[in-house]
Amino acid sequence: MAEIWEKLTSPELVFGLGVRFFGVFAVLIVVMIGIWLSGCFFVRLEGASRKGRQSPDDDVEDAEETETAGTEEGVTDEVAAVIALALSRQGRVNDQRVVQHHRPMNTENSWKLQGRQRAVSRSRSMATIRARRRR
Amino acid sequence: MEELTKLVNNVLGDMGLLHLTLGHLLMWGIAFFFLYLAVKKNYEPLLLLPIGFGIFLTNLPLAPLMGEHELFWIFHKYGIEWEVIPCVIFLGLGVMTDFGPMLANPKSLLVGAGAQLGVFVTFMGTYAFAGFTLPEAASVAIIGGADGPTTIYLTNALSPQLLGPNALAAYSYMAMVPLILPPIVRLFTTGEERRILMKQLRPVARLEKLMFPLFGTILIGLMIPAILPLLGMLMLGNFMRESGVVGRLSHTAEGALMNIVTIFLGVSVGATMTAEKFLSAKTLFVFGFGIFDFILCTIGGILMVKLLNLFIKEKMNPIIGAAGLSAVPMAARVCQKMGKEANPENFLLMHAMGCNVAGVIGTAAAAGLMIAMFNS
Repeated sequence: MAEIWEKLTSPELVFGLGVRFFGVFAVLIVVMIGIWLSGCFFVRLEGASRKGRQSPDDDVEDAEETETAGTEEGVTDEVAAVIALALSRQGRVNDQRVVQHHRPMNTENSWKLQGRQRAVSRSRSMATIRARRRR
Repeated sequence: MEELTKLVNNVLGDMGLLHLTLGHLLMWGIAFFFLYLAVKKNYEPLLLLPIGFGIFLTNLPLAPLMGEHELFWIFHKYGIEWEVIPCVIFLGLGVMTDFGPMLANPKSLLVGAGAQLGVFVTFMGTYAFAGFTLPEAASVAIIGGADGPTTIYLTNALSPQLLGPNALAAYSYMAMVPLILPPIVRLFTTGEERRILMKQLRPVARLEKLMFPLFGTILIGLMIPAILPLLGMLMLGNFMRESGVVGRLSHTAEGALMNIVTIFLGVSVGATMTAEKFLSAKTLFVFGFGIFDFILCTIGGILMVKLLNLFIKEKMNPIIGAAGLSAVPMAARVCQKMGKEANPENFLLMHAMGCNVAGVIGTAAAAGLMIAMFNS
């Protein structure tokens, strides 16, 4: 028992191990700071390149188009209502399909789900970019 | 007549049957147990199967396998003693690893460091209570890091006589991560904490991913040069992956090469477990302290997340602390499953993967510091 106590309280060993445990922290904190700094740099770089890609008069164009779309002639109230109903029904069917499709995915493989989420968000943003370009 | 008796004696003497001992039979039992776990339970079959068969073959009496210049001796000598196989496995791991989640959330590195708590506590425990020497205690303690190649690398460097039990304990417990982690997570977290929603990580630029292996190696290599053989290979593999220009090499490193060295690793580790070496009190201590180590490392990761939550605005779900163990990707999958159970809207996989790869780096750093401790 005395031997165990002696080993456990050996200042050289306890201090050495303590220093090494915090040494792991020190090393990883240095790496973390490096990653954090490079992350800030890349996020800024990404933001700058996104701004560069977007032309300054895009927002003005968007506003103009919204206004003209509302005043288009040749579409009666009945036709608009039918289109709205059709779109709504189509949307509901799609929602059901998504729900049905998601159920097995959730239980099957989380990696697939993550990939799918990424793909969906990416395709959405791609669609937005394409729509802007078309305009 | 005398010659005939001599001949019969020689023939009988050459038969293994007469040299069979109870120790051999016990080792067969252990080998069959690991084969059962691999085949029937599907627990880390890629390693437990060759290890189990290696144990079985090497414990057949008079088998010409582990004598000098015999088959398994050659595998062991040039693969493990020369520390080639663990480093080549790290190359393959590097190709398979996506550092993206860790780069998107650098705080996960602190979780990886916190999860090394068990390694240092177990070091003290094995040294004080089990009568291990300091290098032996260090090699047993690294089991908690849940990183097979690092365990083998460190054990071979500090106490090669414990290679078999250490490797077997590390891989067995890694296979049991889905059983070990959930009760500990439930015990150390509240339901409310487990429901904490974590938002999706930012996308990481390709250039950022490409820079990490280079600058990460410089930073860690300058501080802990002892771990460069392992970490350097990990980073080389990852650089190959992220560069995207050496598809053939990446494909080989993560596929064929990895499979080849896994076979040699498993068989060589199994072959070190002869009855006279394995059946000792030390083996029992290795397995006992190994599980204690695993539990403490998991607790360390969880407590680290809780500590971080005291200071950060966007709270982290403490479940991902359990992924600070390096068992990639099993620990992360378990965290994802538990997170989903607590809050179906939660998607913790990528956050947990960040902690997982941080754990690999943390364990490698701990191993490097221990090697440096005994080399200085």
